[in-house]
Amino acid sequence: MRYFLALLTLVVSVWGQLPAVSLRALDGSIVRADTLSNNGKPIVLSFWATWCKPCLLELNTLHRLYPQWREETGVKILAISIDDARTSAKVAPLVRARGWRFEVYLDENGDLRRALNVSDIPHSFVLDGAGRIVWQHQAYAPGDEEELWQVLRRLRQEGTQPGQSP
Amino acid sequence: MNHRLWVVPLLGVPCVLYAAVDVSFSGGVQVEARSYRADSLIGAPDVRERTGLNAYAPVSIRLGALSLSLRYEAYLPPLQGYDRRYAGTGIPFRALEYRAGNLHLTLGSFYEQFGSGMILRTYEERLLGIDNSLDGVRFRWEASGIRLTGFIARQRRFFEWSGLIRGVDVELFPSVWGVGAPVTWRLGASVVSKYQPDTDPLYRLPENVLAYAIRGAWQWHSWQLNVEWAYKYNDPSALNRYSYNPGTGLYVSLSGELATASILLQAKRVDNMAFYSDRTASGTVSVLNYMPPLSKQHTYRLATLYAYASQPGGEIGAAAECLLPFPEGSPLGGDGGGTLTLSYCRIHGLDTLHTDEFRYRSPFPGIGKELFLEELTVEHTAFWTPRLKSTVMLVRQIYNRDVSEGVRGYGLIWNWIAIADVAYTFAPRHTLRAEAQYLWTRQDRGSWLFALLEYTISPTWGMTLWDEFNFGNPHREARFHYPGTALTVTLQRVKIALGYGRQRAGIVCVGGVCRYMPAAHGLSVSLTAAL
Repeated sequence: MRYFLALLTLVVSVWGQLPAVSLRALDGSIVRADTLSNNGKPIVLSFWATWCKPCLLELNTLHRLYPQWREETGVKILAISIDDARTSAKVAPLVRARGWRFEVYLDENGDLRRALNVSDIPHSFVLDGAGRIVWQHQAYAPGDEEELWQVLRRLRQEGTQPGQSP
Repeated sequence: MNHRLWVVPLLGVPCVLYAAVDVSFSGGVQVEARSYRADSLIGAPDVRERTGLNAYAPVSIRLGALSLSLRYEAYLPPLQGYDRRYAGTGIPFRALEYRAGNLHLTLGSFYEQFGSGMILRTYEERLLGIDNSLDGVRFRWEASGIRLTGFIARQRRFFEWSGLIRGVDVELFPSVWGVGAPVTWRLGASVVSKYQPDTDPLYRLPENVLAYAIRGAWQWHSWQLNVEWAYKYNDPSALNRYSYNPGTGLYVSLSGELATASILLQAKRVDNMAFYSDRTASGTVSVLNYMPPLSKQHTYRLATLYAYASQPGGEIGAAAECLLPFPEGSPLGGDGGGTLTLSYCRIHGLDTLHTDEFRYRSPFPGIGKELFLEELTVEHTAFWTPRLKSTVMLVRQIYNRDVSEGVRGYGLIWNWIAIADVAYTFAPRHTLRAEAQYLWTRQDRGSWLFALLEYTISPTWGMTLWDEFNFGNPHREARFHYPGTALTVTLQRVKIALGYGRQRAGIVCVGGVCRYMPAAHGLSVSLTAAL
């Protein structure tokens, strides 16, 4: 049984990193998802769209908490918009109007969304310092951010901390 | 212990072989099932099978530079409103991809979009039953300041593939080489060609139809200008009444910041740009391109009652949106800040003149007299306290039902819509949200009311109750209620929803593409799991 558990741990540990698909930054430049990093600190990846009310509620809540979270855990929040050609022009004005300080990327062709099997939004992921997906959550209800904060705190306690890739 | 030994090679061999290379796995399951009860009052049909089920199970495995993706789909039978030709099961998506350095090679199924999609956009939208993926060979090369894409493929048609489509796209980022600073800019050009044999007994139809598009984007500080022009050679079909006119499309958007306001201006002109891999197709089957509509994408229930569908045959329009932020602590922003959004759009038909049976003149810009849509939206959102949040919205619409829904005799529907949405977190993790919506019109089916109550206990539970009431129907006997209830359970990666209720017949739109959903009465079950 011990061997089984050890092997299972190994399998899980090699699953789930960001694939090498292309995203577009708000200035139009192309960025590969596998190059997104936070210098060994955790990353929160949040899929959203300009027309998705729960997504806006979630990102507004995270916006409020971001300075404190960033200071305590070094986390970086990446907001991945799945707006298509109809609404993608609205992403930059909305981000400016809401004053969000997240890094925002466009996934217009849905490449990252499909690679991570995101069916509905909002859908959030947490990546540890080594870029591995260690947690994900579908939907958003007020209070869900508390669970996300617990995950980030746990990562900090487990040693996936600044500069320490496990 | 012996009976468990098989686990060791099963799990161990892939690990030992690939752990050093970078292995990852992702998968998911989505199941949507419904039961159907005949309900003659609301026009819910008597479905012979009594149930419907759509299921999707994508899985992908990455081994270093290689990845394999498959998606199993089952329609047993398709849910009401979905094309019956989906009935059955199969693996309509299979792709082997190789990514190394600047090279990305795909063998099998893929989705692709050139520019804003005016000559090519293949995508999946499960809510509408759209999957027009391509299946063939795609080559992509990305280096500093340049991206080149080329493909030859067939197109998905339910559980088969048909047609022959070829495309090339090149995008340049001269700013990367320091050209044009301080303005950052990019240019793109694309060509798409489709082939279909001419078997028409009457007309001599082009077997190869070519379309091209050029685009540019310029950014200076917060200001961004995007321009795209598309041209399609003549492609006569029943859909455009065998017109031998070419198709054209122009899309312009300008966004930026003026003082504290964010502004977006858009304009679009489309003439004869329906583009299908099969000239006998219509609707969302075998469609190759996408015309981004200018109308606002609403999500509140009554605001989607009259949802505009983009008209690739011909339309011209403009839209403006202004977002005004209210800072934290201001009277209209509350403790957490707020925003006021003003949106306006107006879309007309094109002014055209038929010169013979197969051609027409369409002078630029050619704004026609027929109004397709006029919409004004005012929306205010505020976070009054960390516990209290509200959205109020007022919409004024003039909606051409005949054009948007392909019906006759309804003409322009004038309506007002008022919406209030308030959420209050009365205890940690416990939130109550209420929506009230009112649509006023004297036309069509008259006025509507909608009310919703939602109680969520984060992070797991959600309970919703709603009722939609057509209280202003001019036919008193047709003043129906459409009540419903749903229970949602979210367990991180798994979301389960159980619902029961009446659903009115109507048009469901996503991204300006619409599908008619018939009335339904019954139980619904939905499961979404990310593995």
